[in-house]
Amino acid sequence: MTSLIWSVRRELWEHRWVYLVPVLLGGTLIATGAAISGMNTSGFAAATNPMSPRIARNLSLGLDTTTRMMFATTVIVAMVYCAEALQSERHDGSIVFWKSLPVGDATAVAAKAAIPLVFLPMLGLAMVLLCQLVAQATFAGTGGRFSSSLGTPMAAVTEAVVGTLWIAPVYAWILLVSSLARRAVLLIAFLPLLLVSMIERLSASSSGIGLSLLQRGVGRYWPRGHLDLVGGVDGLRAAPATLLVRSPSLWIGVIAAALLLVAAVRARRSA
Amino acid sequence: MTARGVRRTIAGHDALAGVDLSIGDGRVVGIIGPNGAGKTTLLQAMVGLVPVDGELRVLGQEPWRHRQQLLRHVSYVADVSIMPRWLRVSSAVDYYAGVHPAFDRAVTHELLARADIEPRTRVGALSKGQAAQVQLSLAMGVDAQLLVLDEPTLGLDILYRKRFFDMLLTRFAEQRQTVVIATHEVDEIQHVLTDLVFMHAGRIVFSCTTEEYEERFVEVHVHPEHVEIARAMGPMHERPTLAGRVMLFDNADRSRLSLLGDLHRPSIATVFAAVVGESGEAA
Repeated sequence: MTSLIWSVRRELWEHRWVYLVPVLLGGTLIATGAAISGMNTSGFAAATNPMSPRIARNLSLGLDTTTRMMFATTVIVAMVYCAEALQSERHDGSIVFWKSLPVGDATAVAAKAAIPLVFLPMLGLAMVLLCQLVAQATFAGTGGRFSSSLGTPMAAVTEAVVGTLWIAPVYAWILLVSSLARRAVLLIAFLPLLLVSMIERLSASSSGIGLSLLQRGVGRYWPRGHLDLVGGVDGLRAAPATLLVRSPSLWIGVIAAALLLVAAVRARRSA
Repeated sequence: MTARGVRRTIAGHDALAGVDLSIGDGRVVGIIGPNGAGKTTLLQAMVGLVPVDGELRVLGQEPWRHRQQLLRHVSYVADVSIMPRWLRVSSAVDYYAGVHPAFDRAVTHELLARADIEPRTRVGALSKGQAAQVQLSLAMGVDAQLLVLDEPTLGLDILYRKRFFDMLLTRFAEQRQTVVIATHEVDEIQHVLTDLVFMHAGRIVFSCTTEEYEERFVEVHVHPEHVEIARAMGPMHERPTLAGRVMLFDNADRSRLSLLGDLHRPSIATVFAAVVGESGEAA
């Protein structure tokens, strides 16, 4: 366990941007959101001049979008991190240094997997909870009601856990490709899937594979009301975490992620 | 450490072509050979970094299968600076202390201070020699049963090399660690070694203790008038000098040789060249 903790610390020393990007971007989003909300809510008072439902809905949508953007940011950061995680140590030759210490390949890969599966979701959750505090403060005393599907701490925690499990096979797949590819990890990881998706789109005029890919990635956090991205827009609407947790697809994905990580351990061992 | 019939083939080339070797506890073994001889592959196999065919056991364990457990008792320094450039020296020390049960950070800090290396420096900002010194300082901080050093002084200046080998000798004498060291600086380490192993083309072509080496090999600066007599005694190797011929003998009668010229202890490089042969084939 000590080796795992030190190996996670090592990952954060090497990839400082993993926490700097979400913190800086999240901080900027929250500050901007607070400023915009503050300007739009000034003058409202629950007793004398309550906020209209329309303004409350618009502000809620804005804060909901901010929340989703913060989760989406952690997903994008996690994917870029996964692409680098096992490839960079082979690229600069430092893998021999790390492997000359009594830290097994399973521990090393577990530490790398812990960044997208544990560290970043926790960081994203912390930012979202901070955003919720700002939202509550914005609406306090205005008579308006903040409503968002991710607007309560429990909903945010559930989303952080279930959303991460849902995307876990994607992270594990990128980590596996990172353990094998010499360069262009994300291209190698996604190009075949994108080609299959394009062929499906051209031949069958459907977007099932493309939508599935998006739903397993940042598409899950696509803002509500802005869904017209791919032909079958309704397909992009993410299932709520409370429903998703009962979906066999989620648990099949978790098993696939575990198998892909085992393959990544074997690949690192032979590197 | 025991190796029997150890082989490793890379892209059709035998990096190790059937290595048989046994190293006892408390020995300081020098592995000597040209580039491509298989030294690095053998050392990497000893610490479980590469798989091999045949039988290989180090401290009673199969290195490839039990690398993590084995490396609790083994310290390894690779032949090139393999530390990541982004890593701070102090972070490397912290990481070692965190994951290595036998690491003493005080030893490493002392060595770093002696080398005038500032702990906050990133590896990328160090010179090649300083980076090598950091690696050695970390490796020496581990109280290991076995120290495996692959060209540890490559890129280091002569003063640091001397200091390092003196330190190695002191530590060996104090703690009776087993040390396996591959190097091109053969004559600099001669006084440190207890055993010599010559490698060539993936094979061990010669091995002996340094005592045996001293007893067996002698170099004679043969007087010009005795050259034919000396040749009749079957030298392993001979070369011309301004003053005559220098001949290398293995297990020859030293009292007879002393009548033919001045006797000297040959350098390891000279014996290696004679054993491997001018053509590169093992004699």
